[in-house]
Amino acid sequence: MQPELEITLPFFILITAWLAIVAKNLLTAAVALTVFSFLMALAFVSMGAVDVGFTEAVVGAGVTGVFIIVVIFKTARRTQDRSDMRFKYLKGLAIAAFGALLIYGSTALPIRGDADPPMNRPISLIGSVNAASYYIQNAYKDAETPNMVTVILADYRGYDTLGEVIVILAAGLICFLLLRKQGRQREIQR
Amino acid sequence: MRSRDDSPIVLIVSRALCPFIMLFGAYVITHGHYSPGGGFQGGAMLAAGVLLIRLTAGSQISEILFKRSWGTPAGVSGVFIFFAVGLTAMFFGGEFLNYDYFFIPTVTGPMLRSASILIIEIGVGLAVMGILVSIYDDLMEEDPKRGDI
Repeated sequence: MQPELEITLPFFILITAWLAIVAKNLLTAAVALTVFSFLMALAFVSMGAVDVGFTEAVVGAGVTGVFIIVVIFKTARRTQDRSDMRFKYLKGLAIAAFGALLIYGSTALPIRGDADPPMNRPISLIGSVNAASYYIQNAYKDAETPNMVTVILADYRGYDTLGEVIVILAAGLICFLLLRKQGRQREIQR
Repeated sequence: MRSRDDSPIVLIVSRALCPFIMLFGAYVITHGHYSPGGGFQGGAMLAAGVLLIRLTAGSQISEILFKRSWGTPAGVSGVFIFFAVGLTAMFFGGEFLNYDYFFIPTVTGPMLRSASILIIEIGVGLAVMGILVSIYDDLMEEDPKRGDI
């Protein structure tokens, strides 16, 4: 943990997030969103979640940016929407209340770097057996794989990973069915 | 869409970078047991390597690297590898995706689970790479008259 990084990163994350929302030129917004993803990846890595940071850097800052820019070139460069000014103060109050709720909830999270947080104890607070403690103790014995995250993702939680891959396949097939024109054009030409 | 500027500098730099990006992607997939990463991240990096050439050289030239018709079959075969591992374990007497019952000759115990994880990661990487490239190709699909991006 680097204190300088921890202080400066949220500042830049907020700036890029704000820029991605308010920019009228959509290309600017896309680039700001990409930078936001990369800074989030840095924040994840500085918190010790290296696998999550890697995924965010590759998907958020790499591939998603390309997709968004392609869609912008295909459609319109500038945003057309006008902000709706009705119930302005009510909306602001709702957002502030939700933010306060999130901050209140975050006070109950365990301190980062805590060696004995409740979710990693062998017995949970309600008296049942905790899965996380089993994973930590037995991941290397079960699969001879030093990276515990890989064992959890591919072995213990194999169903989850299978579901994720099926979701990605469904997204790809939907794009295929909606956007690909070649077959349809060929039929029209006949 | 605007016509593409044929900048030789961008083309040469991306041609030089692409093999290294794809090699690092393959490394991330196969080395997920020991370092951060795995099938998803590695597959996305392989797709990024293909997309870099797609963006700079246009879809005509980049067909040499990865044909447009390969994307969806690669994605489906990746998911099929995942299902095949699970169903093989089921066939040899275990539950679905219980790698203790997966069958590789002369490999037993924890090493069997490790090897099964490697096969799963390769399947996930293939699926993610194929589908990301195929989404890009579907988005870029356009009438042949108007030329390239």
